[in-house]
Amino acid sequence: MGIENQLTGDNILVTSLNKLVNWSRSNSVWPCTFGLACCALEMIATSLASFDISRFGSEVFRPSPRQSDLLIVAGTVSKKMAPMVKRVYDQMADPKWVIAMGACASCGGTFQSYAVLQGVDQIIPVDVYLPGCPPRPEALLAGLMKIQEKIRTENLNQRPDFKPGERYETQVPKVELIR
Amino acid sequence: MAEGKTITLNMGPHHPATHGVLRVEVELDGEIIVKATPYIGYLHRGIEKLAESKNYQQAIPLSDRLDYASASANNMGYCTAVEKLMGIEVPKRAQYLRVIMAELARIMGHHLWIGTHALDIGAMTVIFYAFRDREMIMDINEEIAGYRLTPTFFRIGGVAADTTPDFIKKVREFVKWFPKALQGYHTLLTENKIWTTRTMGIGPISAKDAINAGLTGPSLRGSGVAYDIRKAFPYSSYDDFDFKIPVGEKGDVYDRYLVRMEEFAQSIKIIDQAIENLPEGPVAIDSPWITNPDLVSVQTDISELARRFVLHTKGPVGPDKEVYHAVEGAKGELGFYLVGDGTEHPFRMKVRSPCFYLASALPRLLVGHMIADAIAIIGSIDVVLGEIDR
Amino acid sequence: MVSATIDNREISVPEGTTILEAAQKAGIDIPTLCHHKRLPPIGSCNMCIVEINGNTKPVNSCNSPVEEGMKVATDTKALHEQRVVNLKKILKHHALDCPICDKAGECDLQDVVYRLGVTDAPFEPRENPRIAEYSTSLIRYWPERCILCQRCVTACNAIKGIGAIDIKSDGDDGQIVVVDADKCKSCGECLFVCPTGALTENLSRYKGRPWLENRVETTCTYCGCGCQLQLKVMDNRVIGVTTDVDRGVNQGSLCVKGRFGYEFIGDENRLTTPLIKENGEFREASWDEALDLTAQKFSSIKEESGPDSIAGLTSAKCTNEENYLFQKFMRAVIGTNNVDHCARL
Repeated sequence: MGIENQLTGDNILVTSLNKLVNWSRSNSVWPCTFGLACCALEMIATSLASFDISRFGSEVFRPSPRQSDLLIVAGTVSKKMAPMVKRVYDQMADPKWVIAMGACASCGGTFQSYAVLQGVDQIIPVDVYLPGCPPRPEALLAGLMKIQEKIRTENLNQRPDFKPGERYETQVPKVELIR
Repeated sequence: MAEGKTITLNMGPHHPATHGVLRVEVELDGEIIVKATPYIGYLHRGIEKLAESKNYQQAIPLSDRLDYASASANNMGYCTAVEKLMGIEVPKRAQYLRVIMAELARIMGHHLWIGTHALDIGAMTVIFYAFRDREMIMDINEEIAGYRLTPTFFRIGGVAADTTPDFIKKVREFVKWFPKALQGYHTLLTENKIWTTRTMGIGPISAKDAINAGLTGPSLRGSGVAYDIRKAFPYSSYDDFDFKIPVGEKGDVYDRYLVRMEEFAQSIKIIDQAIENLPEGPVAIDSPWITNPDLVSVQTDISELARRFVLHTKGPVGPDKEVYHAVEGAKGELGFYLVGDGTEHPFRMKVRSPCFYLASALPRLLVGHMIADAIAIIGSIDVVLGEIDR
Repeated sequence: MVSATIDNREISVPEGTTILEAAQKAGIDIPTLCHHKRLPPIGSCNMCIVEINGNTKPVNSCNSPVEEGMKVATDTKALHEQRVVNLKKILKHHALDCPICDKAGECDLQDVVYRLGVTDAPFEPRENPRIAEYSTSLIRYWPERCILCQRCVTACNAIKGIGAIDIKSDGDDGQIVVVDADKCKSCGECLFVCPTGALTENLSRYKGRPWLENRVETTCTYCGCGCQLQLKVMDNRVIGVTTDVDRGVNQGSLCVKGRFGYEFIGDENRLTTPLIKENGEFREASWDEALDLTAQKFSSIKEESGPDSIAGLTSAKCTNEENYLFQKFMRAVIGTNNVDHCARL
């Protein structure tokens, strides 16, 4: 059925480290349990039986930011909440991605008011914006697939968390050699 | 109380069991809570202020986003309040459709409550079944309003559209199916030993205390007070339907659980009566100052075209007076206090949100219990932060 | 002063005040289409009808003065029915093009229709469609939208005293015609008072809807009059100019430049940096460089040929303070009296 059927006998798989890492990262994007407002309900619906986000390897919602890769900003970010959102993002370990779910997180949406942050991208970098108020679960899945697409095309040493001069310095030439 | 120092523990605003962005600061003596202070405002969006800058019709979507777990029930509150202000009587068919939507929303809100409440206490299975049935309501919402979670199906003077054959079919299917599903929830929880141990005798509040704290809705009825605005001050044809107000005895988490479980059944009963006795007639009043003309006449009649433009650019005008109108939302008495000033915008809109009073009762509910029971108590009063902070 | 009763409200107004003005002063709103604050009474729309002393024959309130002891009713059932009949007569041939009409959203006709709650006025096309006779490069006349209220003609005669347009009144077939094409200066007074979208401006057509625009209050920069403008701004671009009847020295009037000369504001060809001409070609330069060069050239000319070889000419777009500073600069720094202003030319 899968790749294992092709591997009868002694075989060797050749790929680049880039592809291997991106492949494994893209299929295990663990979101952070982080609901703010209405969109959180659609996020919960996405993770449950009807829409089943586990088809994409993302069913493991972690309550702790330390264990998650994806921050789904699901809902209105008020100015009082903004420091907490920033802190949750900062606590997440690299590599990490952000989905601004819904109109409020993307641009303030219908709440053009004194109390609401007009788009979460004012405090943290956003990878995918989802329109809708709230977006349908299908839209969230489409956003997740966009994230996966983005991860698969990433170059390891061009990620924002890549810090040249440390251990990578010696490893990067080896990657080039294998390729 | 044991000797020694207390420690202060912060729960939230990012906590998986606080149902949103509620923050509770608890002071612990060992595992016992000696003091609890809820902090709110993390979802303050300025809905009341925004409503002052929008016209009466435009503010309906804002009301959806108050208690987003049961959006149509808020529409009911807002629209009936504006209609009371303007002195409008809604056609019977629209009233019945509103009742159906509001009761479906109540079930939706209770679905979210039972799913997350059980999940917090450790019974994970329930949320899967609850959301399976919740999706059926979402489909019904989508069928008639085009939107799943926040349908905004209500309008000042009626509802947005007439029923479709599929809508009626889907509602009937749901009414037929849901009692079985409800029996399933009962099987999973009601006599479950772990569930009863975690909920019985936890967070009790006496009827007198509950009234003094301003509790309404299932949390008040759990303490044995049979107060339901649908019965006490019937609105939108609720006096046409035959239903009971379930009440508890002790007012603990388990009683509140039983009350809400019985409300599921009563809501289904109301929906069943409404869909079977749906009257014929228009679904909105025909007033040139409030409702939109139909799209066919707009293309042939200049006065209808002009009226449509004015309604869309300026909006219906409210009189210069003030009203308070409350409905029974999924969480309790949801009241809207509107001050009109003779323009298209309300001068002031104040929302009397049931969740605010529920959250303010947290200190007296939590004190004396174990920290693990705090999760059960917060789950059982079923707060939605969109409504507390507004 | 005369005293009267309007809708059971006691009022006391100076002699000669019309019933409409008195009612407006008392906060009673009578619907009108042809009455305009700046214009003399026209009396063409028959919307402002009122009943006096219970008399069943209504009179136009815009041109009837208040008399001592009058009892006026402005909103009875009979009046409402009569108004609806009159309005339906106007609506009968009014084009069904609100969706593309620039006026939709701030249209007096729409407001009156909404207010009277007319819901049945089917459109009948004209047998002989009107032909637009009046139009300039800046103003467009839409004959099918015209309700023949005569506000434009009155404004052209009474405010501007030009008399370029008139009504060819032939019952239902009446329309606006040009009396003397050379007289029209495209001042746009007619356009400003038009209660419907029958006269629209060509420059801002289809650029934005009234309810989407921001109105920014400002002062016209073209000359020293200081007319008050309201710029219609959408997406940070100026898409039109209007004004307010109660504001400033102009009280709602504007000239052709103030009303239509706004496109330079967002023009691509506007200079954003100083240019210095070198070897016959302009190059972009910084302000410091340009000012240094100018100062140096002025000093050398003054040294070579004396201060009177330099003359200064300022623009009317500058403020008084800037003009004062400029003449001070010419007199004190350069040392010449050769200073003039374009408004004197």
